[in-house]
Amino acid sequence: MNRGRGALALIAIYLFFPAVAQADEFVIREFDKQQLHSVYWSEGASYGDFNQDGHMDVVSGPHLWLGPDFKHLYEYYPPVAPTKVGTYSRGYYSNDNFFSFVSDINKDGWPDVLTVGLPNTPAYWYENPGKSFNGPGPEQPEHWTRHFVINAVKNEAPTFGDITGDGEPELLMAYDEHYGYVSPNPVAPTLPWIFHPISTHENVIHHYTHGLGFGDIDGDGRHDYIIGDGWMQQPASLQFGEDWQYHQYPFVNRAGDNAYASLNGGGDMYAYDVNGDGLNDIITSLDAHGWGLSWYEQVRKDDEITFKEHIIMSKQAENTDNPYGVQFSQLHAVDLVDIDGDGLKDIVTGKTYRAHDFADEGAREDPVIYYFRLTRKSDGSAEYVPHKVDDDAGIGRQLVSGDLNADGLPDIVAANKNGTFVFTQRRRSVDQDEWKKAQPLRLKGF
Amino acid sequence: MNRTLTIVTLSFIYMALSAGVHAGDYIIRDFQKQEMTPIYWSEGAAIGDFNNDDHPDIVSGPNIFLGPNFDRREGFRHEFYPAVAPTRRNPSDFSYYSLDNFFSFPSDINGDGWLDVLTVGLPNTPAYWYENPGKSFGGKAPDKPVHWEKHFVTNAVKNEAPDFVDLTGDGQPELLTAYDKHYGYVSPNPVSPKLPWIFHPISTHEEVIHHYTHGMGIGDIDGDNRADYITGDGWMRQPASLQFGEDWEFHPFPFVNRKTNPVFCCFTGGGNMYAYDVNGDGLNDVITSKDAHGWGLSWFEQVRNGDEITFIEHAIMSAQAENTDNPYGVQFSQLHAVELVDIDGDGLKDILTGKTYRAHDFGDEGSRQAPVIYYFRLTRQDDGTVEFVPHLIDDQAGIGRQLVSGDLNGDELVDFVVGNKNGAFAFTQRVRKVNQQEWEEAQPAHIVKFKN
Repeated sequence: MNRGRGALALIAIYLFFPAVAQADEFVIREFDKQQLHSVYWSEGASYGDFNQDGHMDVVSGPHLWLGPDFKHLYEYYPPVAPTKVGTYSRGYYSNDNFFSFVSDINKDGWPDVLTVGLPNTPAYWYENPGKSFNGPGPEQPEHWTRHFVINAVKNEAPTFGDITGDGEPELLMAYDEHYGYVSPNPVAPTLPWIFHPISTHENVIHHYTHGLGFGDIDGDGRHDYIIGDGWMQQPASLQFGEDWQYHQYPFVNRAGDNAYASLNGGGDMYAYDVNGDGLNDIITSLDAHGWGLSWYEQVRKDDEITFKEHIIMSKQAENTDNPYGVQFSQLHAVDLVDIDGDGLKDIVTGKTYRAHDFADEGAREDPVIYYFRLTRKSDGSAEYVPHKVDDDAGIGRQLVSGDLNADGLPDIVAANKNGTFVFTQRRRSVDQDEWKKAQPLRLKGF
Repeated sequence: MNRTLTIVTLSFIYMALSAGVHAGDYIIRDFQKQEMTPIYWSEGAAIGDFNNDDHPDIVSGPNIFLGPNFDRREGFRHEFYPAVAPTRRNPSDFSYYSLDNFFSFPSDINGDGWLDVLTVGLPNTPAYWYENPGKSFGGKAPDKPVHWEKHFVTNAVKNEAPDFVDLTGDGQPELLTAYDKHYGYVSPNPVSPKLPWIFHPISTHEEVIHHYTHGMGIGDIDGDNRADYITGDGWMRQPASLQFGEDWEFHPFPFVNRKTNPVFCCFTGGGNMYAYDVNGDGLNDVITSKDAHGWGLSWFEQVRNGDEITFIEHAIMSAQAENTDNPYGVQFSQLHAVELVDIDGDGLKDILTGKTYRAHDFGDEGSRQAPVIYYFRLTRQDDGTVEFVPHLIDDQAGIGRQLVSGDLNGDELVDFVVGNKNGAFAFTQRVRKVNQQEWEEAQPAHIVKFKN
């Protein structure tokens, strides 16, 4: 596949089940790609209605693009040019912006933005000034007030989600010998935030360690903390500084002899009941700079929780596992979202474009984006059917899905060294022939 | 007084009352000045035995000067973190500043028995602590500096007189600072001091407290044995039990005039503020300089109207260029740091302070006058009044933004250390017995117009 070949979004097609469409109707789902910017500003993007006009806007790096057409650009903080990390750095990086997390942090009804930069750099939140804006951005940008969150976000897949169940998101990250989360100072979010350690490990957790997530693994209704080496069980009541019970399990291989093996891991990690047996399984990519995507079926032996691995894409360059012949590397971000509205969450991921420039495994192959549609079989097994979304943009370190245009269909936003992109989902009714032709084909021998 | 007048340390003399010296002896106290470096690295310095050899060392900026010699020339200056050159903050700045180091606070933060150093830089910059590697470094400094591991404390220390003291009474020091609309303190994450520290707000104000606001301190004002939080605008009473985020009761009192300084309107204030029973009436009074970039040093006598606490101001030095208050004719500006310590061992704490050398280069009031250091010896009269008798220590070094006293040489006499744009200095106190005539000649004299 040649990277320069197709700039248009490819088409992904399947049989459509849910209530909106008639059963037996044949529906093709396409993603319209819109390139908002061709400049590298960030490794991620997200969305929210920042000007409260009823249309979702896109945020990436220092910019907001106003919906519904994303043509008008607002600079909400001073841009920082990407640079090399060191003199001999093999890639150049955005320094201050890898992730944008949208949340109304000060509870004034206007979504604010929490940003996380290159690993081991600070997180800040930018306060939405809370007034309507529309049309072209002003000649002199109105920068939002910046507030300090934390000095150094460690781990390559921090996330901003409500792990504690208090209704407010926390920033998941590691620091020193501890995993934990950062939450606002209870008196005011404009004060420096507070790191809550939830586990103590023998060694300092390196800031380039990959993979992090949360979800309810033991089924007690409380989110647990998931890392490449296992999971930490959230206790019934949270006491500051009390370690959560650590359950080791090697979701990723950190034992290799590669220089970076001990930092090895994926991106976002999820607990989700893939096969519908009532137990949440783990979904993770295996090496954000190499190969592999798996789900780990939860298996109970009495009260003991263990896992059985199911490979979605192979752990090496050669495809030995995917029956549809899909194999790509560098899944640095993974989103879990019900793309087709069938009630089952699908996997959206892609290849991180020039994550370390061309030094990573498979780095010169197409920067694809796929969604893997979860299908359950009557025998209790599950299969992920891959649908290509694009093969030219790639993803960054943050991949966010959501409904940008209020049509009820999840869309995708991405940003990376190719720029900033919106992928808008459309559905189209077709006849059976066209539908059949568009189905992903199984290879023989799997 | 002309700055070039005298280079040697001046001598001061008084009757010694302390133990070790017989009452009736006539004693002169000298402070021997030692310049450890002529280079500007920091606005402060502090004392601690970092190599555990029982000799106090001096820390200032990125340097540790090993005791007992404090001798930079013989390679005993240890650089414990990478030195950062002072610069202007912006092209039109009227002065240059150390960016990363205004204050050094030695403390065994990780409890391993070796003193670590917490540093605070230019206002609104981060605080860090540097972990003493815990090995003796008694001899010459290595060719390649052994830098200590740096740990993050907080992102922006606001207020010009932060301090690292035990406010809460838990036996551990906290870093006093303001942030946003709150005064408060920063303390280590309870799980580990290597994690980012936690800001505990203790008061909420209407406006954001500017990071260049001057003056702060602690002390028990209401006599309940809990340290209260003192600012230029009043004091916050520490409650009996500390709940995170609960405001301490604010008692406004204008210890300083926030708008005095024409350049720094609204941030005007002193340096370290203290609660101390100056006149011995059992009530703690407040001691503060009035304008760290201008004039004035006062103590505020605590007065009770029933349960209500208020204060009567007593000027030690005048709050304007002209001396209208000091009977000894002493008047200098820019008291950006104030130390309260019993210099002469008479059981009463004296005020040690000086002129901050080139605080804003030559932009401040009185900035071209001699950079003096004085101690004001507290004396109580029979009628219940008090007088602070000024003794000149030096008129060439000046002070910086932090002034720390302690015993540098184990002779139980109070010494002190300075870091500023003149360099870093150790002032070592010496005592000398003299005859009555020499003693009398050396006494500070009342000037005519204030003579009793």
